[in-house]
Amino acid sequence: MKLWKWLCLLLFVFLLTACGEKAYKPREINPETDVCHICNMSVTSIDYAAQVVLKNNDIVVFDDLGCLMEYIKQNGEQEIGAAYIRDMNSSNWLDIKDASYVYSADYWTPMNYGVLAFASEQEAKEYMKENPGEIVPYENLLTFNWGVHEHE
Amino acid sequence: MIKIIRIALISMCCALLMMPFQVFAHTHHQESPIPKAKPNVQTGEKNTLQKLIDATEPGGTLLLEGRTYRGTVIISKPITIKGSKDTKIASLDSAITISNTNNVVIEDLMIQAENIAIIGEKVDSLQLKNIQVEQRKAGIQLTNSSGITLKNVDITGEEGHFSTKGHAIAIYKSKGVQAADCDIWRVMDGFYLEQVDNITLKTNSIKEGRYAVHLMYSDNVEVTTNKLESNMTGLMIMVANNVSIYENQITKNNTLNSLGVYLYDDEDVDFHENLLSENTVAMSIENTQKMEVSNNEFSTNGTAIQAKKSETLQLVDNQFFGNILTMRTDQKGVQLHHNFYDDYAGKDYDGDGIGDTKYIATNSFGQWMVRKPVYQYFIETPSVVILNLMDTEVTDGDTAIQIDESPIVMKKNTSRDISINVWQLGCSLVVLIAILFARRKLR
Amino acid sequence: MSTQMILLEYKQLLRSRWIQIVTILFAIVFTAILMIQHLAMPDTTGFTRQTASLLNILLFLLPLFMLTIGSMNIASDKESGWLGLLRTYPLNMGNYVLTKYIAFCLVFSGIFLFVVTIAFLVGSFFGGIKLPLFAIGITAIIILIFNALSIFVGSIAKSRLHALALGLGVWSVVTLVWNYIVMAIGTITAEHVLQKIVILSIHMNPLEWIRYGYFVFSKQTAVLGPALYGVSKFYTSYVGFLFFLFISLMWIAFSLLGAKIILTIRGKRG
Repeated sequence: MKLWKWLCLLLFVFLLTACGEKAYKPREINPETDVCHICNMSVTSIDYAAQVVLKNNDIVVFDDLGCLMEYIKQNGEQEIGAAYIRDMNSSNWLDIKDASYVYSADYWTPMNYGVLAFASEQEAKEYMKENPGEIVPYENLLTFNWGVHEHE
Repeated sequence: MIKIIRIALISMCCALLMMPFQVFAHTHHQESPIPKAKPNVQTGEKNTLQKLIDATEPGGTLLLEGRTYRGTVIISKPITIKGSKDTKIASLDSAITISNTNNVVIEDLMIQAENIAIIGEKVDSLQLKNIQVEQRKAGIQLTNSSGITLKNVDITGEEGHFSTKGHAIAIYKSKGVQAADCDIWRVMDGFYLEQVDNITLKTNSIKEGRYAVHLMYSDNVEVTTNKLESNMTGLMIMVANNVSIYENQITKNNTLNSLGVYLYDDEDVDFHENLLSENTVAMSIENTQKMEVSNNEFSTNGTAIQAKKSETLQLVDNQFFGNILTMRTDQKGVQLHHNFYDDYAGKDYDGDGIGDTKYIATNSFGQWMVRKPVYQYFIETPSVVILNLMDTEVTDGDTAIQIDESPIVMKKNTSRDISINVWQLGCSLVVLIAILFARRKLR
Repeated sequence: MSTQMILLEYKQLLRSRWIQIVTILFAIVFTAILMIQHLAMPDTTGFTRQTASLLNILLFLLPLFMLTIGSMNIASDKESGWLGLLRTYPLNMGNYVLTKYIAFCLVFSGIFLFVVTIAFLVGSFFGGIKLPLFAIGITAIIILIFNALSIFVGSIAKSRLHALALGLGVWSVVTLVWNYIVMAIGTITAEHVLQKIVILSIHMNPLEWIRYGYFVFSKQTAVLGPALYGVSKFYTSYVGFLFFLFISLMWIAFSLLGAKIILTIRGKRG
């Protein structure tokens, strides 16, 4: 009886994990329930949100690109299936490796890290015309000095 | 002759009244989502506020009548504006914009603005006293200012989920903020302070918002005797230095993801004599150094303390009772010393007031909850209660557990009256006799 | 089914020594919990350790009593030949099952009333105590669902001992083993999978169902964490409430129907 139950549940689990194994799709942010995995702030500014889809299809949500980078720093990339950040212009999800980044201490983001993402370098440059900043390549984000942590 | 003078006076007044129409054309704030085409409806209503302000000499005092002024005003010189009973400013956009000036005092006003009620930029010495705001988009928003005093500023938001609202009082890149006796209700963040130095928040009351007090990148902070109730999170202090929090009441912050107090990446924190009660998690500390938590009362919370990367956190002389879980931490743990725990099972045979055996504050179920939040579903299920009973028997030797070597055994005085409730006694006796009678009948 | 039959069953149940012991035990534990809550804790409204222990006493002890008493009662009817005797009358098995069910529900309601009265009587010497309203609602649902289950278990059992073993087995699975299995699965699966399993388990385990119902109706689903936000939103709606009633009724209906079918088949065979 118990064994049977076990088998049933295990089968169920396998079915669930087997479904949609390859596609790491981002999900919608729910500003009422989602909180940043790193800094615990609720993700109410959904246009700055970021997320990681793990290889087991779990989704980890962040309120700011800086928190996502902190997550990658802490946990490494081997578990991560894909990571997404919002495009500043269209609010679509961009794969963090395809996005272009702009930094300025004057840009506001939820954690005030001041890095914004754009779909193309073209759009990023367009934005910088009105709001001066500097282009930051993705490779530099991991070593980037996030925020104004004065006492660190 | 007198008649002629009277006519001349009246016509002059009329001319004056016509003038302000020109003034408001350009006062819309840049971020305004309110359609700019909306005209200031002036159905015969006099609108002389901007005119009155313009007419007041710098440093002078403007006394307002007890009526409603409509429209938006700009203040760019030192001035004291004083309302009287029922003075109200109503605006379809922002109500008051103060910029590039100093020594501005605004008192005794009601403000109702569709956009932000008061905007301030580069103001040196700003005092807002006895002001009531009916918040639509946001309450008060100040940037690059200094010497800000808020006294008895009451802000009320509309109904709805906090994620759709704005902050009540938001201050950016400023120096010196004193806020006292402010009543804030139904907003996103009660106080949102970003990059502000020298903050004192005293005897404010903030209810039903997202975060009652939300400080980021702010140093030299004092938070005292505030009441923070039924918010998502009471105190949220991130990346701050030299913070002192005492004698606050942080209660009923128990919605989804709720925390009573949350400290993230802070240094030099003194947290004493606060009451934390009926919160989902009373206190969550992350990546915080040089923090002492002493003489607080943690009662009937879901989890009392949750700590990550804060191995120097000192918990001394606190009282814990009625909490489902006293503590959960990561491997680094915290320092527990000389606290009272109501679920401490040890005895004090030598009578020194300190328990003879150590108190184990963590259990493995709590640690699971940190790893996978879904486990929260099982909180205090019969199975988990039994698991915890077995747990405390076998955790010796585990390095991750948290131990207080010197728990206090003195019980806090709970003054319960031992009186007879006659009404209840009578009723229960009657029912009992009826039951026994029925039982005899049914034999 | 007649009132007379129900009354007869009721009287017989009250005579049982086991029921008397259970009543006293339950009264002591229940009163103790309420008194501790009253004397040691500040007045609170939320989900605290004391509320949890009151809830757990109800969720843990009541099903145990019902599953053992109910199933053994049915099995003893079989063993003593009483059921065989009843079969010689023009009596439908459904009638028998329903009579038993109503009698059980009445007996346990009576026990609960007695226990509450004792608690209030003791409490009145300490300034009067309050019984959270949820306790009554939860007890009512437990009585309705678990008495039906116990009849089903009793109908399967071949002897009283077998009934006791089965009753205890079902009880331990429903209260303990079930959750341990789900928790164990959680350690090896992804979190979103665990979340789905938890939601499924709420609908498959009557005890979890009742516990979840407590959180929904006391509007405290936040205690259970964000994982159940969507489901809880549904159950707090009007349609959700009807669905909740429907599922609860299904537990009762299927248990009683199952018992009737099994008893009928066994009767024909024997």
